[in-house]
Amino acid sequence: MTRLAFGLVAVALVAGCGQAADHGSRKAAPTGVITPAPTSTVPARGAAPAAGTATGTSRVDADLKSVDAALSQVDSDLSAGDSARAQNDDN
Amino acid sequence: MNRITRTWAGVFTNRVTPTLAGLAASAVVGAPLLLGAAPASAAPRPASPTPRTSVAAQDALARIQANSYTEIDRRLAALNAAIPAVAANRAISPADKATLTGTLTADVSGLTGLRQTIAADTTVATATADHQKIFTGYRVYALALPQVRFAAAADGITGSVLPALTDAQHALQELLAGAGGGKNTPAVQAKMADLANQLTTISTDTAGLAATVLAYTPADYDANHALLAPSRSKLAAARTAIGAARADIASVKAALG
Repeated sequence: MTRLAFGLVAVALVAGCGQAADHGSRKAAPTGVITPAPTSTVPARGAAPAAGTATGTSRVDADLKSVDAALSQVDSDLSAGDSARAQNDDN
Repeated sequence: MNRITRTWAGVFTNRVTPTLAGLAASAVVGAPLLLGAAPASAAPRPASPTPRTSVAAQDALARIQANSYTEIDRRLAALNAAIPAVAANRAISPADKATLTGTLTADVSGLTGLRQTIAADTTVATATADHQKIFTGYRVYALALPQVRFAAAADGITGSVLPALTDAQHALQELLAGAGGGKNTPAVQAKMADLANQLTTISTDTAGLAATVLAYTPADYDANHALLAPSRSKLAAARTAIGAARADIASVKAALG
């Protein structure tokens, strides 16, 4: 009898813990947790560039590289054209 | 094809290099004397040319032909090098590439035919006239090759350089209007204003420039040897503006950190 009572108490305790765990898993985040404010993406003046600025300057860098690559060809063409003109082509 | 036809339709001049002129003169002017074309008071002329006259004329003809071969072959080499270069140049627009390739190929064909014509010439007079066509008919160095290069440069600026500079300008404008707004100082604004002016200069100076350059013919060049000067000046001005625009962009970018 005593053993039976002890067993029932033990089963009841285990079941209660499981229910509590189940319940906890379905709950929303505790209201006590503070979500970071979205304003954190705006840097303070003098701070390191934000991601948006870095992306923008990377785009500028890529554009300047394109300019330099194209300019190399442009300069080569202009030089070659001038060299051709410098040759005597009169009879 | 049109290049040759237009030029051959009476554009030839009588300019001859001193060497060739002397060569031709010695054969042409000297020939009557050797042939006996002396004043009426002189002794009666021989009935037929002397062997010496024939040798002199043949020598003159051979020299003109050899000189022509040298000039033609030099031009053919330059043209044949330019054709694949045009095909490989990614800056040239497809339409301009087709025009340039057509012009260069026609010049190769024409000069190759002219070489055969000169080889078949039998008199100094015809060889001299055909020799002149090497220059007046094609203007390979004075016009054709510069056309290729200047049109390529213009296309490179309008098709690659200007779009990249404009995109950088837009990126900087967006940055200054957003995250980098606090750094939009009067100095930065002055750089951005100058950048806008430089882009306008580049656009204005290169608008339609490739088409203008490609439209010139050897006949146009023969009428005006400074034909390409205005286009070359515009390219130089555009090139200077590109340098200034690039400096403006780098300066603003540095200010943004």
